[in-house]
Amino acid sequence: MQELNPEWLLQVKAGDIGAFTQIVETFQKPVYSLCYRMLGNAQDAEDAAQETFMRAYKSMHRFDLKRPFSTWLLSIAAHYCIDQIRKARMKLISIEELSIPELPDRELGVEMKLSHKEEQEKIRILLEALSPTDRACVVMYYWHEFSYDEICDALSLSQSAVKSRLHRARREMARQWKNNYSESLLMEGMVS
Amino acid sequence: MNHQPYEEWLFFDPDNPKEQLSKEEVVELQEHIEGCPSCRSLMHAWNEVKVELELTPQISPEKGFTDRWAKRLEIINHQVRRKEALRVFLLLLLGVGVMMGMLIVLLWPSVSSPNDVFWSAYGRFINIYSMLYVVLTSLTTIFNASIKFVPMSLWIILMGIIFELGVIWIVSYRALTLPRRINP
Repeated sequence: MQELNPEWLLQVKAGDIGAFTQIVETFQKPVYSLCYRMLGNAQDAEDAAQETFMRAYKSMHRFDLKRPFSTWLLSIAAHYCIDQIRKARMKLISIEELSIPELPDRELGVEMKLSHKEEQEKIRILLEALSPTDRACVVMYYWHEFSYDEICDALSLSQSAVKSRLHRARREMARQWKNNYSESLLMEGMVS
Repeated sequence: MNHQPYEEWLFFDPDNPKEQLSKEEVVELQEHIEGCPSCRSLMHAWNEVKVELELTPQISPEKGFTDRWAKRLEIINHQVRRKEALRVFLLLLLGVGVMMGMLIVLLWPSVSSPNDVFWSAYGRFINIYSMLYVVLTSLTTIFNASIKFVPMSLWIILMGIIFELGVIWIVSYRALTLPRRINP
């Protein structure tokens, strides 16, 4: 995970919007990616990423410069996404009702696009089986290369909680995979 | 078949030093997996998931994300400014309301009987006017009478003294009010 020039942070703290725009430019990909993995569709991910930067901008005066900025920023994104998922669950929207996720056009060929979409769909289904906090742990650990300590810091969890959540998430994802894509395993004679 | 603790061990994180299996445990796990199709399929499923997680890259937002953010910030700032202006306006309105309320409380006796207030004010105005008229008439009479008794030369001396006093007053006033020269 990339870190920032501390001078940018000082400039932002002094009220320089231009410096924060540079921060948005630098961190848009990891923040958007985390939101996409958490929420499962492009529109919600865009809204969540925008809101994350807005919240970060408003809270910059409270940011401790000794803390890694990326951890702090992704922590805001993760908490926002967890809240959004919980709110959506409160509205009793079933997974089936959610629209098929649309990925941003990345100028790929048709076949590549389809394959890419399939892969993303598989990941989405895997992650949707997890609780919001477990999902955040998995996304931070596997896509953002956060250490256990960083996840603890970002999600305000103890180290044992992170460890058990990741363990549970791995087992859940494996089970999900086994249930959804068992044909390939059956062909290999691996399923009892 | 009992799958514990093997199912637990399958999902240990090899990168976490606290979740390392000993050599004996690794052998034990391998022996169990060879004889247990359920755990074997789970292990293969997890291996495939791991590959998916490792190969699937981070996703970029659509182009122009930063511009969209800047526009959003501008809109929000505009809304905040409008809210602040509205808050100040409401605060002023509240202040005016409170002052009006206090004024009504203070003037309530007058407001409750406006007829008395009007005639009382009218009476006072007439009194003041009569007093001023009397004072002015008296002063005019004294002045007219004094002209006849005071000689012309005394008048000229009196006017001269008044003029001198006026000049002294203007000079003193200017000397006191002009800014002092400050040395660089």
